[in-house]
Amino acid sequence: MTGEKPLGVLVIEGAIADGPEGSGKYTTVGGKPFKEMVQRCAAKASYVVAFGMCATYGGIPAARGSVTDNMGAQFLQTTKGGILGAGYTSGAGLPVVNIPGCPAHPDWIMLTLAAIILGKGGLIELDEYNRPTAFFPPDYTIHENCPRRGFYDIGQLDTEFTEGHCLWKLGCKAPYTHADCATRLWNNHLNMCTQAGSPCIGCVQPGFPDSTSPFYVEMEKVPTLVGVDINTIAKAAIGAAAIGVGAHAARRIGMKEE
Amino acid sequence: MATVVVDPLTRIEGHLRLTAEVSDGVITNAHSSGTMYRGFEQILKGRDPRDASRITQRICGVCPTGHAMTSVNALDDAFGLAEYIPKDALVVRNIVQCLNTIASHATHIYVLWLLDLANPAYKTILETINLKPVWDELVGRFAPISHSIEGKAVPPGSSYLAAIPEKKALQEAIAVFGGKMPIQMTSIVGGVTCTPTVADIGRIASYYVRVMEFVNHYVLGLDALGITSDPLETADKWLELTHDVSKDKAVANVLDILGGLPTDDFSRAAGWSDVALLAAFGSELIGETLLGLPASLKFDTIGGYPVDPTKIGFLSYGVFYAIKEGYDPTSPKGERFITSGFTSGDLKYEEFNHHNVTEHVAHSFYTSGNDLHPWGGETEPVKTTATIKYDDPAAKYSWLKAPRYKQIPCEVGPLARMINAKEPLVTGLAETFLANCYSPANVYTRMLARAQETIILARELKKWVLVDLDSNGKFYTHADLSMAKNSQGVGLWEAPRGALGHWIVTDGASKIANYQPVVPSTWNLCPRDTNGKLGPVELALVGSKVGPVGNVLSTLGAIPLSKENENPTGIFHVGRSFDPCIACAVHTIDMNTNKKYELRIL
Repeated sequence: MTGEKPLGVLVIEGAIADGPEGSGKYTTVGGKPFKEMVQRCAAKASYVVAFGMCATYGGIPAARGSVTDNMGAQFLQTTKGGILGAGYTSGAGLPVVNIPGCPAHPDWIMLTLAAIILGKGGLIELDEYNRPTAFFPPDYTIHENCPRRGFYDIGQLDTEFTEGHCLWKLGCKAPYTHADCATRLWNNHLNMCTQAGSPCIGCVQPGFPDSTSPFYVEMEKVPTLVGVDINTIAKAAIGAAAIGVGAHAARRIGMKEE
Repeated sequence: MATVVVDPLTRIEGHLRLTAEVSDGVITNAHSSGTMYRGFEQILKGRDPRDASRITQRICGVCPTGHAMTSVNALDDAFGLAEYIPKDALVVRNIVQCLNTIASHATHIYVLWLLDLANPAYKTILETINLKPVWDELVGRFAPISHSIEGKAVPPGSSYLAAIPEKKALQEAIAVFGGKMPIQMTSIVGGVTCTPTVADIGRIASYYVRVMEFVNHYVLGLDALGITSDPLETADKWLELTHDVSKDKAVANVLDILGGLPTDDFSRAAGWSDVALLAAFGSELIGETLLGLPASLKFDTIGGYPVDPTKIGFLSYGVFYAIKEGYDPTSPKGERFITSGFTSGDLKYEEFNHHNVTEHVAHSFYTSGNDLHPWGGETEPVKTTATIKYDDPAAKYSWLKAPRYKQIPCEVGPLARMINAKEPLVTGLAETFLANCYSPANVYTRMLARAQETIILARELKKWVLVDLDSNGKFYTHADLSMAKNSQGVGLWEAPRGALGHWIVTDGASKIANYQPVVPSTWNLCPRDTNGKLGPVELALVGSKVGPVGNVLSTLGAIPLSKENENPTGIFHVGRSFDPCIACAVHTIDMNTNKKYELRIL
């Protein structure tokens, strides 16, 4: 760490403060700004992996109202840049590999590190926010395989918690959120947020929490969608879902009338 | 005089720096600095108050559940719903918090604290005084992964290795109700989002059984003692001896158990459980004076306070709802399973009132709002680079504010909870220490209180899961945003590592106007206040021996003291006994020689 030795993989956790006045002193470790540690290590690393929402995009410490100039390693929310700058590439020629999530799934980091260790780092495909598409598929949202998806398709949309059906009207962001939570599940493949009755709050999406909050308000009612690019990210998913609901709802009404 | 700096000794939310002035091996002055500021208070302003319970639990990944519960308590109060929360929603919240507290205590004891007992210094010391068999047990049980002594690799300890899968199992148990862990999702203003089934109850019970098998065999050793090997009655049997009796009887029963163990065989099979080893060899008074052992690690002589009610108190906000519909958000005495209370430094109890909490910023990097109650609290950071420095104790030196209860610095955490609850074993031990001119609070009582609380919670958890939780019950009562218009609320709770309070004020649009969390590590690790009173960890460091040799062998002098500042176990033991977070690498600097050492601690 004296600058002499190359680093294999640098894993960064936590948002990186730039303030006050560009000094980075809002976060110091061992008497030095955390920012300097990140910059020094990144300069020597073959691969840099940012782990968790804070290290990737800045997360809550970089959310609206923040006074600390916190940011991610190579992004500030949805904008490329961050502490290392938009043009940064590690020794292996890749930008910072972003594994977002608050928290991130342990499989996402372990399997990414495994790919690097197995010499497959060059095969890691990244989306426009530098997330591995293996875990954060651009054409797929959590909604597609949500355990409660069937209720959505037949229009059983809960308006109160603990009713047991689709959580869309309670603010669920799964239709906008790109991750494999619903097939991978959490804690030894045991459960996930929507299965436990909680709306997805989009904690893997760039710009979280501002881009996906208020958490408990239906997305269409959210006044400003800071950072969520519905056109490019979730257009297909929402469109398909809306058609699905319409068709199913019409069918149900029709059946009732019969 | 030398100055020893440990930076970072990380804590829950970030990074901790401990600075100690040392004369003749004894710490004579100490300063505690939090070295990170994120400003959650500013970020929460203007948001939908319901989002606070999701955002604040992300303050900390170690006890996120505590923040989530505290926040929903503040929201229940602000929405005017606290008295209507369904009983079964409260049972689920209890279960989720309890699982997190047990997991956190187990992590602290086995993964963060006990491995300091495999510090190489204790090898030298214990071998010198002919206690090599005790050292063999310590290193054989508590050594962490990647440990080496005198250049030789040491395999991970048996207890350390066995504890890690139990932590994972407890996280999974939380996910049964919470969706995932860390950052469970089920607690919400009005109740919980999950609807537990009988199958979920069975699943949690199966996790309970496997964790209590670990407690039975490794922690308490009740199987080797012939008391019970049944995981389901492990907590009951231990508490029958140490909790459901008078405090004198509780201490006497523990001394009986320890006194009956062989002194030529320290193995687990002989009855020397992890708790027995720590209880006997961790204390000068218990081990040497009362049990007649040849030596001890003397954890009862470090991390204590002067018996002076103007300098220190013990505070608990109370935790775990009574099993009924609704609750009182002000947490009056006796309502919660573990009661609220304030106990003075000379052990006199009084009822808790949250209006007595204020925060000082004289030595904290904030520019305004000294000695304010959190409902009117301010968190305005300094904005100039030059102001942020950690080497001038006369100026500001920490990002932590200095919370005070009636202007008194307070220790929070398991020891404070057990003292306020008048728990028989911990109170009995504390009074025994006081009567023998020791500080009632010290590293030893702090660790035993954490272990004892774990068993007390384990017994209650079994009741909540198997008796109180009705899977056909009601789990939510309607909460509408309009209920939070021009309102305020207080959330009072206990995270595993101590009293946790959230104070919220909302505006006419039902948005957050002010939100102030006061967290346990702020209580325990805070800097000095306007009146110059030291924070608890600062006070606990002063008077402690800095190194292992000076502490254990102070009268023998068989090992030179010259290396004490390079391996300041006193700072590690005391600092970590308050349960701050993971310390990966610790750098120590002896300012006399300006020599820098890097030590691998984990």
